[in-house]
Amino acid sequence: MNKPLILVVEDDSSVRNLIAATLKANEYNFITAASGKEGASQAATRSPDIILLDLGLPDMDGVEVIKQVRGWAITPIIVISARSDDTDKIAALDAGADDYLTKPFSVEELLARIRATQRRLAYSNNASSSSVFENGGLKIDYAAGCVFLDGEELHLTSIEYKLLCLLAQNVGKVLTHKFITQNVWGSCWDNDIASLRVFMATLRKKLESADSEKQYIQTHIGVGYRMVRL
Amino acid sequence: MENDTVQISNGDIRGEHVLACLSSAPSNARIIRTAAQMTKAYGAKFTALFVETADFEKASAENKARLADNIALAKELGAEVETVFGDDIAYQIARFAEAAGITKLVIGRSTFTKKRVFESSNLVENLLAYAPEVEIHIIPDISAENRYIPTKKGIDWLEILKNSLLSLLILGLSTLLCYLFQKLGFADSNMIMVYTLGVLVTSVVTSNVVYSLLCSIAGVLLFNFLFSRPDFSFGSYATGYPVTLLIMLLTALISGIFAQRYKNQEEHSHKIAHRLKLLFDTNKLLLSATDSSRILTLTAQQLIKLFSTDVLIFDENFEATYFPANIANQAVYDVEIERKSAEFATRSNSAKGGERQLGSKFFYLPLSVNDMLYGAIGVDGSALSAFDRDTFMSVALECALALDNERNRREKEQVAVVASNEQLRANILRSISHDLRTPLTSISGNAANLLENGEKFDPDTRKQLLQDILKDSDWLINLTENLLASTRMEDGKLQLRFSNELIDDIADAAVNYCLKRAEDHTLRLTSSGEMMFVSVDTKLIVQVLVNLIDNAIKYTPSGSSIEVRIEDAGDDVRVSVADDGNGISDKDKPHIFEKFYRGEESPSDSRRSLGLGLYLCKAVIEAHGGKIEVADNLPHGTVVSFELAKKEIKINE
Repeated sequence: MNKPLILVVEDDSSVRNLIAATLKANEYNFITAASGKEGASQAATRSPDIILLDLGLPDMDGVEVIKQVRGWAITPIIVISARSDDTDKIAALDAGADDYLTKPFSVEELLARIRATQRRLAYSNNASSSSVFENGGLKIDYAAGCVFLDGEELHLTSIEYKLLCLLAQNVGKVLTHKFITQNVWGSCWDNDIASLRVFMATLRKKLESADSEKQYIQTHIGVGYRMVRL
Repeated sequence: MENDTVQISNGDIRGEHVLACLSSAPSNARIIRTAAQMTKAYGAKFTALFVETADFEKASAENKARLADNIALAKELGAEVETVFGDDIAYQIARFAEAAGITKLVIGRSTFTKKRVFESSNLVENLLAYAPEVEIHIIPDISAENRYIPTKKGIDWLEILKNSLLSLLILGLSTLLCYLFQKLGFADSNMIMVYTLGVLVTSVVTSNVVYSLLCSIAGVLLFNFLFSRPDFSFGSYATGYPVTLLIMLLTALISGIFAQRYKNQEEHSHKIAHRLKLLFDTNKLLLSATDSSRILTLTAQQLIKLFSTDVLIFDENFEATYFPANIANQAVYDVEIERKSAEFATRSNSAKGGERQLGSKFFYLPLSVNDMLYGAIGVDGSALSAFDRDTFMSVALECALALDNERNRREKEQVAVVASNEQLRANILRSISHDLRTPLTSISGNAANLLENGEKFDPDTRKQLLQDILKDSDWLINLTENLLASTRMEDGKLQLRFSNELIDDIADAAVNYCLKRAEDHTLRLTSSGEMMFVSVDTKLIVQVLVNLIDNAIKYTPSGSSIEVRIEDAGDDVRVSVADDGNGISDKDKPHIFEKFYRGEESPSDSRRSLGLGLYLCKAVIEAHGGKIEVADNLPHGTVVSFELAKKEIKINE
């Protein structure tokens, strides 16, 4: 598989250099942009495979960049946020970002996110039209409405099944609480989010009962959930 | 023209002060209006005075209501309303005028309607005698139908019977004594003295001058009939007798009136003394109260004790609290109407207040001191005499003063808290700046070294330097998280962002975060698996757990195991971080949650410990209403655990 082209949009030169050095050391192709405008135009002209986007840009809000890019491309976007506050991450995810990193992040973390996004890309390129979803020992037969874990059928309630399908269709992406509740319940009340936590916990337990080493669903506390591509 | 101006300004300097005399008469309104006009014309000060006499308390409700109307009118026209007590109206007015520096006095004819025998029929003359320097304006009462007709008060038959029996007893005793004197052959003059004494005693023990008057007539007749020659007839030969009888009559009358006056005065002083004592008690009680709601409750209790009426209190935010005088018999009232009425009272007049709004059951006084409004206090006003109102005003003022003191004290405390917070902040900054130097020196020194002499180092040395940079920056990263959390704590109040979270998810997040740092330790999470929600600020609770795990990693030797346990503790969730290290000495235990406390037996790299972590943990848990504690783990090690209230969640299917 070819190494993808990565666009790095970051105004701080030290962090830009750090990311550039990391990508270079791992033999990724990359281009850099120091402002939101430059980033958006680079995204349009160079059509990168993955975009790493800092949310705190001097010329425009990172969320605005996401909205612009999402206007014409589904390029995976990983946002980088300096604030420990979750609200800007959630706003970015709801605007269409796929994943997030919080400063200070480690080099391994950055590489892990890029690899996960790559896997997702590979998967969606190959099997987007398939009626069967497969991830590690997990298999969802959309046509039959059945779920199998390591070959054994799992008995899920209808809400659990809906949740699992939603996560599977967005595998590798962090889905915010709001996004999930709107897609499963059609509303987004605090109470729904609390319910969501309970259903996710039971669903996770059912998925992990067979093999505790494999974690299919990640909890991003305060933000949302993600199905990990295994 | 110029001269006129000068004169007016002279008048101003002298300070004209108009006094209107209030009464319960309907025509009194005219007097008040005239006085108000004069006040305007002279640019003078305006005071309205009511002289409450002893019998006013027994006046009809109609009269009292009319007086209240007149008082209200006077206030509306800008008068300060004062009340004094005494039976000699002229004397009281004159004394007040002198004390208050009154220059013009407005009275009406009805003000000096004759009320009792021997009271001066000419108030004006008396006034002139008492206060010759005051200008007196008399407003004639022309409207005949408006003339004040005193209404008959209810007759107390028991009182009459008692007084009559007493008088008869005294008369009988006097007669008996006289009979004895006659037997002993004493002179007639002695017997007259005995009867005079009887009349005196009667005037002292009975409540009305009528009895002593009747007694004196009866005494004269009895003496004449029984003892003066000829015996058992009213005929009298001695020429001096009619004069003797007349003198006896006068003696009875004068002594009776004086005794009565003395008694009334005494009653008043008694009432005033009683009120002073109650005010003193109130003052003492309010001084002991420490918060505003306690002050209001105590005031209400005192008022109930004083007037036996219901009390309605509005606090600073005009929230009503009702204190019934009798719990079994609570009044029905409309809170909105009462609130409007109370608000009106606070607006209409600063200190004297006391208007009643339509439909309102209570009579309100504002609780205000120096333009600070602390609410209003209302009592069932229909039963209040002017004397009671005065008392009520004093109690309200005491209450307002207590509230004012309480607020001042609270403000001072707040200032002290802010000051101590500032002090704390300064301490933190100093301590941090100091502690930051060490890792920063290491990072920048090592980086510079590598940049300049990178090639000269052997690979192992280079790796060591790089690892130091990494370790020190990790330490700085963790410190930043704690500092961020602490700044949220320091701002007086902690701004918590609550959300309902599964405790397992929180513990999971914290354990996952720490796994990287716990490479030399075994880190484990055990949970009953029960789904327990807590309503918490997730970020802060995760930070608490990270700090606790971090501490366990830092203070235990490599290879130790650390367990994060989640347990159901009834209404609470208990989260513990247990290690099997060397434990904490009993001496250190009470102090580990203190800010900047580092313990005596610090680990080798104690320079890296700011002592902020556990302090922050305690502050966060306490801000959530939970508690955190440290105990020994068995057989060795430490357990730090905290409890948070469980939250019941309704699940939407």
